[in-house]
Amino acid sequence: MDAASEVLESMCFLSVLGEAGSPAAPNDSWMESRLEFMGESRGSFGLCMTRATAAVIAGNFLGQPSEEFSAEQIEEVLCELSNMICGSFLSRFCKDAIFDLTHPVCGPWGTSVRPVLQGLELDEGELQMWLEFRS
Amino acid sequence: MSLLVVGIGECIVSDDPGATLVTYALGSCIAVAIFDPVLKVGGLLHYMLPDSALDAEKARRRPFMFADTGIPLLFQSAYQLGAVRSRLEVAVLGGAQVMDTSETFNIGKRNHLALRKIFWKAGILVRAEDVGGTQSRTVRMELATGRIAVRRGLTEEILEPSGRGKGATYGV
Amino acid sequence: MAFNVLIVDDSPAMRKLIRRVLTLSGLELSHCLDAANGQEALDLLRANWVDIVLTDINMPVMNGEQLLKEISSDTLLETIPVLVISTDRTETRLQRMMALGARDYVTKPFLPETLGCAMERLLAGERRAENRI
Repeated sequence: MDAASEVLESMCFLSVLGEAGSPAAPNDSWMESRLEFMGESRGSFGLCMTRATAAVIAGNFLGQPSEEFSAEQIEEVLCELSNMICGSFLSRFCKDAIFDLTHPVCGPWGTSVRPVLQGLELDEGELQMWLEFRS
Repeated sequence: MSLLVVGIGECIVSDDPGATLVTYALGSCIAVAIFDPVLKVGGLLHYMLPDSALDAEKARRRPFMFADTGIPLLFQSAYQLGAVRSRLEVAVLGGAQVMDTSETFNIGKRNHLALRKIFWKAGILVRAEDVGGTQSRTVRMELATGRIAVRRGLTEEILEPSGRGKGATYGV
Repeated sequence: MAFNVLIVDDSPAMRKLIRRVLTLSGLELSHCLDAANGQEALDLLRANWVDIVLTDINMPVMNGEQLLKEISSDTLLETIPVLVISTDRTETRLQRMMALGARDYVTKPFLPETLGCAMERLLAGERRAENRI
């Protein structure tokens, strides 16, 4: 949560109010971004949110009204958000280990299997994320 | 030398080079200090809350209480005295968490985030910032020099503008 | 003197954000070029005059570390200052990039002012070098 807070506060000006008490169940109207990481350990990271929350994040990140963005531009911001949160988390959690992160892939919430989601309540919306170590 | 006191939810802009603007006990509130080093026009805003949507009626009567209504007015007031946007040096101070640290809605942080969002969308970069922590701050700015003194407890730091206008940087 | 800058990052959103920060910082910029990976960056460097490179590390095709190795081993490019902007804040990576010749390192997430100040320091160094010639 610290890694997500740092990124969301400094680049998207959003407060993380805490863990979501009753996280909403994502559905295919949500957006998801996921990436793989490798190094001392391998694994994957993903985050998802509603389109409305993603649009707010994109608007804050780029400093423009969110109505001006295309779906592709919003996805690009979500990809960078997942890159920064994952990178920030791995740097904190695995102290001096170097990781390589793949280019994130973004799209509608799909049916793939994922580990347990952690929901974070933001002052504008909710974000859910997951992290899986495979080795 | 005239001392102009900015109260909570207030703002003063002046072009009197003999004036010193001061605001006390910021706590979780934020002070925004702006200064045009060429014209010696400066302003000091002391706002309490991030978002005027919380109380639109109050925002109409007291716009300087809120970040989203107070900050634009601060800048517009300075422009009316001839300040040039590209020359303005901006300092941000305050936003401490002075109450119990388990407080869920850290208003100091939310005040700061609201300011950062407004500034980023408006394309304004801050030249100096002293925010957060747990101590309340008192801030004064001399319009003769643009020098800002920030007091926290028994210590005082001076922020000096370089006076170069565009691209100038406050030092600490 | 106005500077030509090359921004290297696989994220179009981050490239756009960096461009905005550079513009708002009041720096004397002439041209701002974009590349999505190290190979595209090298191609641009060999075809254009670039004064400063800002590069991410994690990128497909060619990452930032490999790009820096290529720049520092090329006699025509080795004097171009490189500023690294990356999520990786490990001491190991920082030391590796500085040892390869990076002039400075900004970690993501960053405040726009942090990047602006890093660029000012880099450009001040370039101006001093210009004056010595």
